[in-house]
Amino acid sequence: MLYVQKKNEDLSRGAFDLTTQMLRMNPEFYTVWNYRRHIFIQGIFPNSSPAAINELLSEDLGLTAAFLKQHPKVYWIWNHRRWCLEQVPDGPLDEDKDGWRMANWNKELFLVEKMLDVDPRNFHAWNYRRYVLASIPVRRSQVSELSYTTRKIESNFSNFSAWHQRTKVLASLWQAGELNVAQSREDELDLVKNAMYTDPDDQSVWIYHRWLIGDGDDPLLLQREIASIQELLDEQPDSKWCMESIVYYKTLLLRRHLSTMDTSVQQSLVGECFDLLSKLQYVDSNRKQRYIELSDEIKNTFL
Amino acid sequence: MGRVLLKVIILGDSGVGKTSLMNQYVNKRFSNQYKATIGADFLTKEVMVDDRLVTMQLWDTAGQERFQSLGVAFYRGADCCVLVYDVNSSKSFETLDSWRDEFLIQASPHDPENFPFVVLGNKIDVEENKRQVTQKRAMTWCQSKGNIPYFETSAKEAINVEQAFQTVAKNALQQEAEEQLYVDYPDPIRIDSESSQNYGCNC
Amino acid sequence: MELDAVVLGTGLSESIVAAALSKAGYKIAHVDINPYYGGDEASLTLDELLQWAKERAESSVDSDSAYLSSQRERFTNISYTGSLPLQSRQYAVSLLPMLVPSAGPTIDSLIASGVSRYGGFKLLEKVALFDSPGVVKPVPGNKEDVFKNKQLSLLGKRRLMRFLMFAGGEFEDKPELQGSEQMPFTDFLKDKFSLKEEAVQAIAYALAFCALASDPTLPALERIRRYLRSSGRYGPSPFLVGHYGGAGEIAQGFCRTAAVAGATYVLGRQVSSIVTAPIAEKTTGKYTLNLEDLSEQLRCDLLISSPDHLPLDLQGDSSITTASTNCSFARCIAVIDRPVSFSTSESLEGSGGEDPASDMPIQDLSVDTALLVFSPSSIPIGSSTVAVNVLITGEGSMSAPRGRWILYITMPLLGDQSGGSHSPEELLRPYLDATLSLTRTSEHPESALPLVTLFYEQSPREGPENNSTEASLMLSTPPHSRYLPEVADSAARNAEVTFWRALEVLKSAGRLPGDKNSEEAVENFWPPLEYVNGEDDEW
Repeated sequence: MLYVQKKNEDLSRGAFDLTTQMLRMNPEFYTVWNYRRHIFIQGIFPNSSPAAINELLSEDLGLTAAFLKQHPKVYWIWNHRRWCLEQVPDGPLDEDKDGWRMANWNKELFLVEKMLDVDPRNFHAWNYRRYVLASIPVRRSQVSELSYTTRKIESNFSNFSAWHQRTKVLASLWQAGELNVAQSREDELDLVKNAMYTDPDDQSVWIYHRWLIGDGDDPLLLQREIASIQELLDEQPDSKWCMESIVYYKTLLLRRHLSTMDTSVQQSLVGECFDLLSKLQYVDSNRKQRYIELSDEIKNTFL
Repeated sequence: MGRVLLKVIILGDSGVGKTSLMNQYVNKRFSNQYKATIGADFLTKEVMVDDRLVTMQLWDTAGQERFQSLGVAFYRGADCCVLVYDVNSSKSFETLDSWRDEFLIQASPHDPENFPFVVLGNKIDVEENKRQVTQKRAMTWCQSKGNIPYFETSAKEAINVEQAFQTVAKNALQQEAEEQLYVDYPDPIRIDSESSQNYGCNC
Repeated sequence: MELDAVVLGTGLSESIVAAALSKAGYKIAHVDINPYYGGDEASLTLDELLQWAKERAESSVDSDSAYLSSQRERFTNISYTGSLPLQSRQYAVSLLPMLVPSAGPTIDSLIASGVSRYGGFKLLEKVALFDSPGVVKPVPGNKEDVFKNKQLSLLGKRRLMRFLMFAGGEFEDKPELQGSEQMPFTDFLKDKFSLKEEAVQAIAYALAFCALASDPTLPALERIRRYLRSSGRYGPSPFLVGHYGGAGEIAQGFCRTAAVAGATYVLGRQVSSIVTAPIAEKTTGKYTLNLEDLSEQLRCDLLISSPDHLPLDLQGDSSITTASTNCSFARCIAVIDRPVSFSTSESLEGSGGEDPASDMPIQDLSVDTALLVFSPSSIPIGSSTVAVNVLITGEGSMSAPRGRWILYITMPLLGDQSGGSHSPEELLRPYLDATLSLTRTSEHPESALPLVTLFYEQSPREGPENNSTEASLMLSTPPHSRYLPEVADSAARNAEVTFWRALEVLKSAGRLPGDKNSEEAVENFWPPLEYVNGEDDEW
């Protein structure tokens, strides 16, 4: 019956209510969501005041929030929410054009953060959260965003998404000149080293470290970090991430600063890499082939 | 609005019919066998009070009143106290006063003057000539103690039981709402085999 | 009254046994001379506590019951200061401070018996080590704690994590442990894990809850593993604190469930005589008890009693279920009207106004229900050998009214403290003062003054000299482990041992549970739970 109505361009309240019923039964019916929005735009909104529109959109947000409890990953529900949020009109007053928007976006932020409390590693939720932050009319400060990631990492350690978010926030802060880059980087290296030493098996921590080091144009920094990781390796001789990272950074040193080294130093570095790579073949035998290839690469490049 | 749980305790001498009243109200059953409340712990029932759905938890004395051995734990957090006597036993009526006092001491409600009691004169199904406590006498006492609602009941014949407990529910709900003003306790941890949310050992 | 067994004393262990026997179908009477439940583990209001203290502090009189004489020997050096605050009845003070591990025999018994439905629990918020006046050290018990800790070096963190992983796993066959099982735990941590003093203290006293530096390794590791595995079940902490005083309330719960299953309860009456029938007579029960002010005699074939409830003449004949490894304790109970804050040295440095980096206001570090541990030599005039713990319980545990907290200080009298030359007040006052230093704030720069303080020494009952073989007369072992988180579980374990032995005694006396025609043996400590409101044949 709904298809008939749609075909006939039925934009009535009755048709609207029917879409509600159908979506309650199956929220994955994307054509029904489309039709609902169509009714809103063509039928209901033109005859409603901004306040009424805001009210209707808030109701739909409430409805979809309830759906999300049962179906937290259905894309069409999230999609409809985005649409609703983007439709919020100016208001309530001329002087406060973003009032309704702020209210709705802030609620959205609260919702997604609640989801992240329950499942801090929900990658989709982190993405959605970035979208919400970018859409809020009055932006949250990046500095408070940085604190948010700190809290998330502190409360649940192995959190790739939190570290990842941190890279984005820092990049933005550095570019905007809001933080002293050198100091900030030092602070981050200190933070990530604490994480490394606490759990050397956590991959996200090593990836973050790599991001901090960047393209390795500071040889002293590289050497210092290599020494730190070596200390950790001495304490934890079976740590494959330590070994792999040392190889990576030593190779980086070789690539970027070959001209500043005399041959004996070069050769030591190369030898050390070979040593570690052969150990890795043993410690991480699943990826034996990769280490062999790396060895060959080094051999070909530097010998 | 969260789920409302009302704790109701039922006090009175052994044998007046406390457990029978509870069972009649919740399970609509009655048994002549006096097994001294063996097996009766607490019964729950959901009731509507002024369009609100509440859960009443009725606590039986489990026979511990026989030798004055009800512990303070029994009284804690009660939202209403039902005092029961047997209309055919004057003694069971006379002890109501001490049961009421005992309750107020043990439960220590914030506003003892206004704590909701309900009095039930049970076993009215027994022949009239056996009756020892008149309705007038009972009502006089109830009025003197702050206008306590009074019902004459028969658990056996299911007379007035529903009405009595409806009043209990209503008054208990009001008490619970007032008590909430005094307290701000965080949700307690309830232990049962299903409730373990795993936060995960992080080692 | 014809009974299968009589239990004397409503302490925690006895109450669990009474409940188990009653639910198994045996006819039980459970008696306590006090007008309240819980015995030596009771939850008392403040005026009841004062009364309790006075009775035991007074000198003996001939007319004293055997129970009171016995209690006076065990609770000594009692001193009480302060006036009774208003709202005395809003307090539920425990005579036995207790932590219930989230996994273990106590929780299992609470759930299986249904007693868990009667009351609620509060999760212990934090454990911290005392550092210096006004300052505590956090106790890193998991990965997140270790990461955040600002006092450990990088290597220190790695080594601590390595230890925690070891302790949480199957360490029995690991090389580090071989041959070192009895080594002092503190030495083990230094030798095998290269841990520094700070970390050693945190692990030994605030994770393993050792009483002495010399406490052996294997039991300490086993305790740590139990607690690591309990964390996460109801929240981050492995420990629960029972509402309304804990132990006493839990004991009442077990008594109630025993009553529901048919047990008869008699409070506030003394046992005036116990007569043992000669072996030849098999018609009535072996023991006949008379209670004062009760015309009915109790007859049974098995008697289980807490130490102080049994008349002296029978004590020598009784058997005990488990050997007592208990020591004496110096105890303090204090009531304060300002909260304790667990401020660490970092939180003090960073204090003052909002943290500009976030929109969060300054942290409130005050605690409601938490544990403070003093390692040996942590305060200048304290003990240099023994660890002392302070359990703090506030409104959230339903044991005190709003704005009030109860402090329970416990010192096992071992090591250099076992001499007995100092009063409990002398021993514990420095710890009380140190704890009170944590109540200082910018608005109140001086330490809070307690409203009420009680100091006393508690000694275990000496077991009978010769452990008699009279199995039908059992002395119940009280739950006073020197390790705070083991207290509850030791009571539960003792109760279970007692239960199985009781079954043997009853069987050999020809007593069968419930329906006498039933041939089914009792197989479990607790029978399956019936649902509330369930169909019941009798009705």
